[in-house]
Parts: sequence; C-alpha cells; structure tokens
Amino acid sequence: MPQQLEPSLNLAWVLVAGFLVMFMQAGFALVETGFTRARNATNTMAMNLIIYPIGVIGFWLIGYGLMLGGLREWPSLGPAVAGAHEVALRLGGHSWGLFGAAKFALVTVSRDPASLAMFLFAVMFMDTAATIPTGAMAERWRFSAFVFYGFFMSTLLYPLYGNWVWGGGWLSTLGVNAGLGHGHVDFAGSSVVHMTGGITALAGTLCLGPRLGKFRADGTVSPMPGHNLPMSVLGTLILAFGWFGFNAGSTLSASDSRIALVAVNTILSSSAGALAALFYVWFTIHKPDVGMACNGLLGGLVAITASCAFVSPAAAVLIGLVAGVLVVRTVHLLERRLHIDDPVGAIAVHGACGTWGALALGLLADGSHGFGWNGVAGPVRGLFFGDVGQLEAQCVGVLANIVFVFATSFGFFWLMERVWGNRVSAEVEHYGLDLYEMGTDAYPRE
Amino acid sequence: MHDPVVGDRLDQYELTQLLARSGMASIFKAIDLESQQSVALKIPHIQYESDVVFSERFRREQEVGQRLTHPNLVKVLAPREKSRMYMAMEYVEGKSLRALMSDKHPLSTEKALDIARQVCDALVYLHAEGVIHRDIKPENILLTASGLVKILDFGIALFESERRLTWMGLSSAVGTPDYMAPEQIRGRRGDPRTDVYAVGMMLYEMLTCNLPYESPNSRALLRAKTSDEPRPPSYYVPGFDPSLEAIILKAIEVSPRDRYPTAATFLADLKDPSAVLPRDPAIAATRRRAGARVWRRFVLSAAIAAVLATLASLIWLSAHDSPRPVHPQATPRER
Repeated sequence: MPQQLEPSLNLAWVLVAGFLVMFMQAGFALVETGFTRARNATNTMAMNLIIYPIGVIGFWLIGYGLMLGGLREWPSLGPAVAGAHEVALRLGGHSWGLFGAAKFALVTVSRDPASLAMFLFAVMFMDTAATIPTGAMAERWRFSAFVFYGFFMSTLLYPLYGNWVWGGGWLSTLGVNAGLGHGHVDFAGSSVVHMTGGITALAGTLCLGPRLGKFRADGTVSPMPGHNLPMSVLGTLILAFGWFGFNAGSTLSASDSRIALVAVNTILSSSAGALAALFYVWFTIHKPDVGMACNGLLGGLVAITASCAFVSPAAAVLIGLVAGVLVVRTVHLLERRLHIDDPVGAIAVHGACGTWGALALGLLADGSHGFGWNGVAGPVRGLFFGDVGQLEAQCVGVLANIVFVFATSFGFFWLMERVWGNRVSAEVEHYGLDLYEMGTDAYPRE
Repeated sequence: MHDPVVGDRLDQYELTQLLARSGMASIFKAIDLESQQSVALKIPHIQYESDVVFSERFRREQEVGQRLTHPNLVKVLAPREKSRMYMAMEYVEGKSLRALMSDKHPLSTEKALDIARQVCDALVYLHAEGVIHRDIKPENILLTASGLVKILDFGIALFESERRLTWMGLSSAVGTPDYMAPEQIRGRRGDPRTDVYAVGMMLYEMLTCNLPYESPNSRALLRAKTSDEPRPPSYYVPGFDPSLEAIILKAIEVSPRDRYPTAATFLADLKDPSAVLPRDPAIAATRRRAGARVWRRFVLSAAIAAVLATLASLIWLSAHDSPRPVHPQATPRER
C-alpha cells in the first residue's frame, strides 16, 4: 500500500467506526425506555438524548485533555504532534502517569487530523459509559441532578480511569514498571467503558434507593415490567450493530489484519451470551424470557470487548457463555438478595460482565497478538497460556476501577444529595416523571 | 341497539332484575313470558358483540351448555328466536361458593366433602361427554338453599377434540390463577386431570381458608405453582385428618401424572376418605420426582461439563494448530 494512502485509510476507518458507536446511543435509548414504565418514557429518552451533547461538550473542554493529553501520537493515524504532557508521580525510580494535561478544548491540535479523529472516537466511548447509569437510575432521578452528573462523568471520572489504561497512565505501565504482563490491557473497553459505567450505576443506585413500591415491607419484590419489549429488542440489535464500531474500530487501523477476528469474536460472544441467558432462564422459570435474552446478548458483547483481538473464536464463545449466566445471576442477586433496584439490568450487564471481560483476557489471551503492547516485548498471554503476570495486571486494573470509580462517584452522588437532591418527590414518582419533571407525556394518558 | 336495562323486553323474556355486572357482560333475572318461569340471561356489553374472540367464546359456552344435562350443571336454554347475542339459563336461587367462604371460617368437613363430591359427579359426566371445564373455581359454583351444587360458566370449556386456546390469549378473561393447574400455566390445553386439580384446590380452601401457594404477585405465584411443592393442609390446620390430606395432595400434585387420573377415581376416594392411607412423606410421588430432579441435574451437569470440555479443547487446538505469521508485525496501535 502506498505510504500516504495507509494513514488516510486508517483515519477513515476510525471515523466510520466512531459513527457506528454514535448510533449505539439510539440503541441505549430504546433498550432503557422499553424496560421502564410508560409514565417515565419521555424522561428516560431525554436522559439518553441529553447525555450525548453534555458528554461531547464536557469531553471537548476538559475530558479529552485529561484522558489523552499525555499521548504524543497514534502511529497508525499520522505523525506525532508536539505539546503532549502527562502529569506523573515518580515512585521507586519509575514514572506513574496520573492524568493528561494538554490538548484541552482541542486548542493545540485543532489542525491535527489524528487527534481530531481520536477525539471523535473517544468521545463516543465516553458517551457510552455515561449513558449506562441513566438506565439503572431511571424512573426516580431528578433531571437537573442528572445534568450535573453528565458533566462530572465526561470531564472527570471517565477521563481519569481512561487515562490510566489508554492514555499512558499508571495501569498501562504496570508491565514496564512492575513486570506485570503488558500492564492492564483492555482492547476496547470492558473495564474502561463498561465497568466504569456499571460501577457508577451501582453507586448511583445505592444513593438513590429503589423505586417506590419495588421492595415491600414483608421482604418480597414487586415486578415492575417495562412498557415496551419490542422497543428493547430493537435497541439491543442496534447496540449489537454499533458494537462492530466499538470493537473492530479499536484496532485504530484499517490495515490491521485482526479486524476480521475482532468482528467474529464479537458476534460469537454475543450469541453465546444470549443463548446462555435464554436457556438458563428457561430452565429455571420455565419461560424463555426475551428481556433476559437481550441482556445476555449485551453481556456477551461487554465481556468480549476487552479481549476481542487477543483470544480465539472458541474462547470468545466461552467468554460469552459465562457472561450470559453471569447476567442472570447478577440480576437475581441484586434484586432478591441485596434489594438494589436496577430497572434495566445495567449493573449486571456492564458492571459484572465488564469485570468478567477484563479478567477473561488475563486468562484466555493466547499469545497471537499484542507484540510490544504498552512497551513490553512479546505477545499478550493469559494465565492459561503461560503468563500469570497478565492476570495479575488485569486484577489490579479491575480493583482500581472498583475502588476509584465507586468511591469517586459515590462521593459525587453523596455531595449532590446534600447540596441539590438526587431524587424526585414521591408524588412526582407516583404520577410519572414525564408529567412533573418533563412536562410532556410520551403517550396520551387514558 | 343499546345495553339493555331492567324492564326491557328481549324476545320472549322480560328483564326484571340486574343480578350481576362484569366487565364483559351483565346477568339479568328475567321472566319467560311464555312459561312464566324465572330464567337468567347473560347479555354481553354491546362493544363485545363485534369482538371475534369474545363472540367465539360466547358461542362455545352456549353450545357446550346446551348439549349437557346434569342435575349439578346449570341448564342452558334454547330460546325460540334470538334477536341479539345472549344466553338464557335456568335461574338458580342460591349463592356462590365464594360467598359462602367469605366469612373466613373453614366449612365443616361434611359440607366441604359434599360440595366436592357433587362437583366431581358433574365432572365425571362432563368428561364422559368429552368436555373439559378448565375454569372450576368458587365463583363458578352455585349452591341452592337445599345444598344442591350447580356449576356455571363454560366460557373456556373445551370439547377435547377442539383446537387449543392457551390461557395467555384469554388471560384477561380468566382472571385469578389460583385454581389454574400447572400445565395450563405452561400453555397446555389440559385434560380431565386439570379439572381434578381445581377441585382439589377448592377442597383445600374450603377446609383451611387458605391456598397452598401464597404470593404477593401473580407472576411469582405462577412460577411457584409450576415448580414448588404445595404446603400440606396441616400447615394451616394442625391435626388435619391425614387421610383427607393425602387425598387433597394427590389431587393437586404439580405433575398431572401423579394426580388422580380421572374425576371418577377422585370421587371414589372422596366417598370414603377413611379408606385412604395417610401419605408417607418419604415415598411415592415425592421421591419419584426427587429422583427425576436428581437425574435432570445430573444430565444438566454432564451437558455443561461436555460444553466446557469441548470449548477448552477447541481453544487449545486454535492456539496450537492455527498457522502463525512468520514475522509477527509490531501492533500498530499505541494508546
């Protein structure tokens, strides 16, 4: 391929993949709204709509600089630009990156196509993570509190953890600095995107409390079925389509021969996840629950995201199967044992399966890819292929996510509760957020 | 055309009193002007006349009713001419079993057994005629002052040969799932054992004022009914007659296989409860089902192990048999 053609092709690939990921926003809106009740449909749709512009503006202004400001270049997309800066801690003779401190508001890179394409691609990922809590916290969250959350997520929470894994931060240098495999490896975001979203959703749900009437005084759980299952099924399929951009686009290179494997692993894992969830539910409650099959499919997608370029197709099926069962078990655990009310199953799908996905890479990466990843020689191998250090690095990354993201987001929601208030009044919840919060019903009331 | 009111004339009948009004139909007491006898007319609300599913159900109820003659079945009459959709039935002076049980005291054993026997007797006749009632519940059992039982409502009754309508499609009309048998919940059409189950549930309720499954919501109730063992009557009434308990538990077994195969065998035990041996919790159906469960669990575990082993070997083969690039390229991605 001629020299000048390759970067252009790669650039176009990353942009097209970014466009696909943007379409996932529509998928999330449909899935979440379908799984919630009719009286809150406008509110749920509105959160999925508004998180997008909030995220774009917040990430443009601050988030991108914090997350990727420390990177000089993306070799597949074009030559390096000057002015990158990563704030780091010197410890034990090594440098541990904490956050980027350049490229804010794209001022210094406004003419660099590689940085601009990466901004577009990264902001779509950020929006995916930011959308996840809107499902778990739906039907009771004050809209104004949600707007504050949108800026918090896009300017601070997501960019910081993202920097540690993808921006040259301390988790990515665990290999070089501490000898743990290739550092924390996450190909397309099981931990960076989905765990972050899922753990934030958990913290937010704990702060908000369950919907009125969900858990009765006698300890029983009242089912609150969504109002439009066909909408959720359509949303699920849109997400599965957009995921090709998510995973295959993360090669950042159209000439990377792994694209085919990445795409194949993505469909295999999601299919295995959907079937595992379907049959598991069918076997236990005697009905082939479509909602659970949707969440199983999404769980399979989330779980393969970290390792889609590093594992064989058979391993992708295994990862998806585990994810499908994990989704069902986690939904039951949260609802029946812990009494945590997540209307759409976002914590199970993104939090639990994201965790599993990040760990699965540390088990099943087969050593056929990732030569020189994060500056460490040789390919990425999981525990079953001879590198226990990689699993350790994955565990450190997962733990860091749980501790940092949970603590920070819980602190944020706690603070919001004190100074602003997170939750609508009982009356608003009873009559629907559409009527009192939004002033517009989604459907005519009878 | 309008919804009829008291005082209206409908063919040979004159409406004299509104007896009940539900979401779908009104039931009037009326005088047959030809014979001067009291009758009951069930008249659907006007908007349902054009509803295909409803009118099919209504037509079936009438057709089934007219074919049957038994002292314990409400007789469906055949008017000379009919100017609109309605059903004429014999008028029964009495109250429903639901009303009888509403004061939350168990009925006496003799009274409860008598009612169950009469219902069973009617079922023996119905089943012999090839009809499954499928909706036996206290609301559909009428009792006259002399203690005679009359079964009402053949709305979802089926001739065994007719095509299947699942409960899902009729759920709005079927209402409470308390008396619905597990196989109906799973969408099967049901057979004589389905009616046996419902009578067993009614007998249970008459004697204990409770039902064996309790759940705050109907979805969980449906799930429990298809998978859990029922609570024995002695849970609610300490010292409950063990023979009677054995009869009831056999009638409400989760699996139709384990129930009385026919209403006649059920009736035989109801006629002489003391001849039935008390249930030994360690034997018979329970153990058979436990055995089936163990077997199912074993098959499932084996299947899971086989899938995992297959995947493990496929993963191993992928790693060792796939040709590798001779000179692995440096990964072009640097994040």
